[in-house]
Amino acid sequence: MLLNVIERNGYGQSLWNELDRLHDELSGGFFSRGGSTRGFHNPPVNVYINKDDVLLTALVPGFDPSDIELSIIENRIQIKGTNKRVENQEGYEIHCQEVENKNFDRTVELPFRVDANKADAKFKNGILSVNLSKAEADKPKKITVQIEN
Amino acid sequence: MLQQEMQKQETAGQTVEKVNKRYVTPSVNIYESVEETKIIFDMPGVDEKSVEISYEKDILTIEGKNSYSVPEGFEGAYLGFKTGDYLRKFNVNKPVDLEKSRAIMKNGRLTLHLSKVKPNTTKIEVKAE
Repeated sequence: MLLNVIERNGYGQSLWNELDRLHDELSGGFFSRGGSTRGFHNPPVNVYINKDDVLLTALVPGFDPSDIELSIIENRIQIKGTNKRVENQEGYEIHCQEVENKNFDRTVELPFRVDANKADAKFKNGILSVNLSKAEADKPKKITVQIEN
Repeated sequence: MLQQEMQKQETAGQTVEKVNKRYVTPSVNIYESVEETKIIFDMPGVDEKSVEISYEKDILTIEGKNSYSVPEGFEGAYLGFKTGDYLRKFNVNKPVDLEKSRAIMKNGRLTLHLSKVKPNTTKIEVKAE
């Protein structure tokens, strides 16, 4: 073997992925309820929120933007990736396999509905960023209380 | 997974050690053929200009600067991954032909082809006395 791995461990290893997935399910609270479909790779996601908007980012290195399909239904955001390139490893001996090349299908459930018409998705260097606006009906509202003497 | 990396800086003849630099360890695939070793690194957020590959004293070091940052005005509601620069080191125990080696970065994935040095085979003629 040509290489010895000096430093290993990373989110991509299959065992770590599985632990991450269990961690997601156990501690993710509302956002992890959607989860991933069995048999698919589970790309890690971050969800950021402010008063009116939501930003969802997913790590999908190695995928082209054309490989990714995004759908929004009320409060559920589904990200699907289909890897169309089959790498030919004929003549190669495998020493280490931590990188995920599988198709993925992940649904993130938000604790509020979003306006699908205002969604904006960008892809850069293997990171998918989806900007979403909270649906008007689910935005926080200020209620003025009239005090009567 | 994050790791702490001790960083040394030479300042006016003194070595200043910074222990707070944190890195993300990229996932890798390693394949070996007769002619080369192919290593695939997942480094989302890194482009071809922000990755450095160095080879010194049999140590191959790959470092990538991550352009991804937490958006301003937002707070994390669910964090499934950690962000930061990437670092991974390997001990290479066979000679590498650096002239023929090449690297390709696409969509946050680095593919490094390390060419092996072909052994010089010299035949020694055996003469009869």
